[in-house]
Amino acid sequence: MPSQMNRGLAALCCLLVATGAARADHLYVSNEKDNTVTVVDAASLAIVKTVPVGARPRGLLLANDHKSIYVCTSDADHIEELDLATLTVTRTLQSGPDPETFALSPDGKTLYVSNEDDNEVSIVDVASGRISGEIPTGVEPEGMVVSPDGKTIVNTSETTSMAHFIDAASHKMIASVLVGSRPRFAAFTKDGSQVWVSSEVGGNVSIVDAASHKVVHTIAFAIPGVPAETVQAVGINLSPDGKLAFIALGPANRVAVVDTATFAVKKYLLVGQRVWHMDFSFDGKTLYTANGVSNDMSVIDVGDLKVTKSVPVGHLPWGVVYGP
Amino acid sequence: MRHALVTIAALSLATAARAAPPPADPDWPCQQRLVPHLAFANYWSGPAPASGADWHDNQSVATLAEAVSARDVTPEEGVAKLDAFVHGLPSTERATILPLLFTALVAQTNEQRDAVIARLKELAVRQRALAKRIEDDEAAMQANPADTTGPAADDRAAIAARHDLLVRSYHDIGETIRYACQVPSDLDARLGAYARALTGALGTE
Repeated sequence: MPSQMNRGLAALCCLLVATGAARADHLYVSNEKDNTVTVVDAASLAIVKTVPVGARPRGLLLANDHKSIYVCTSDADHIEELDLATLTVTRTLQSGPDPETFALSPDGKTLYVSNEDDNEVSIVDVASGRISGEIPTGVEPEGMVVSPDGKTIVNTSETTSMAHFIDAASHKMIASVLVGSRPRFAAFTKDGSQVWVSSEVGGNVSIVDAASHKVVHTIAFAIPGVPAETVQAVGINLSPDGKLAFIALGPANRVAVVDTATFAVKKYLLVGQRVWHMDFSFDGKTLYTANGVSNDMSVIDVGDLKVTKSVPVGHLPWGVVYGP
Repeated sequence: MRHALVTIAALSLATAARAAPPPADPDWPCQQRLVPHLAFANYWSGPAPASGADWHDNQSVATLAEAVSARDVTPEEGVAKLDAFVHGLPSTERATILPLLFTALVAQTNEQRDAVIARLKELAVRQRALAKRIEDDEAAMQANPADTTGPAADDRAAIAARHDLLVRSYHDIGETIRYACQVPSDLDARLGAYARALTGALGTE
């Protein structure tokens, strides 16, 4: 779920690490029911540790310095910082009530957190761990993303089915764009020209032009034999080269692979059950999915577009992030 | 009494806060979105069953599907039985029998889920009726002050006693719903485990 900017920094970090001692990367999976984060060795896919965290962990983000991850512990009403060297929670940050999804500014200094219960986005200063401001937004804010240049925040509102564009400097709402029903997640393209918004009830993805704030295309999904009501679009990850988009389709148990140039669905990959969110390895060759019903993480070979492995994790896995 | 009123108010608020979005089916009480029926294609990446094949006609398949689809069978127990069945099956028959078996498993699991979903909807209807009766009693008590005397005081005491019972029932049903809401999802998870076991045996995973 890290931003494209983070991905760039990740690649740089990876390169730097490669010049020094070999260091294994890891996957971090939030288990909503167990109140834990499962740490998986990326090479062996063995579980290294299960870290206890606050109640109902969901959204995860890798810090820009790659030394920690931030965890939205929704029912604890705060964000926890998990130190990757010691694999322990070292501090908590304010978040506003019921944090579920959040986004990190490209400079890594600010977290934007959607607070579903009070219709606001909380602005959290990472250094102090305190809320520095609140932005009133649509009803039941959900998806959060920051543009690659850090100037625009996009927040989706579940109830009004809108994507709200907010100026990051003034905190003023620039535009509200009607998208599919119950928008859950938003992602900017690497060049910042488009925002992709998934709609859980609509079962589709709206492509919004970031300059004109118009929906320029809607991607629908139809899987032979799979009931339409089980096609619930949630997580979106754009490949590091920008050519492919991977859309998690919830209880359809599929990840759709979309050509970003034509918006055509190239393939549906059968993964674990109720796939929520995903993340790429630093090199972009592997995609990992958190599957909330089958309690596992699917591993996808991005080159071959094949699911290669299922890794059991905790109960109700929701988010996954790739890190050192 | 004040405690009971506060409790029921808090319960209603908590329910409202968590019940997002408004469900398509007003009688579905669970936070999890309702998936009315599970379909073969949601799980299966292997070969399709032969055209016209009916699992009811294969006694061993029908018996096994029923045995592993009961509510109290754990995924591990069920997978062990499936593995044993696969082990005893000539490899040349797997590509035809295993898709047929999975068709049976989907049907049997849907049968189990349908019963749970129907029960949950019944509970939701009862819960709504209870909430209405509790609200009516609370309105009656507010209209009849606590320091009232005479026959009105007796009426108020009777309403208060009934209100306490209704609140208790509301809480009990709420707990039952909370527990039962997980069951369709657990059955879904078990069916997925069966699909992985069978497709694994086919070598198509």
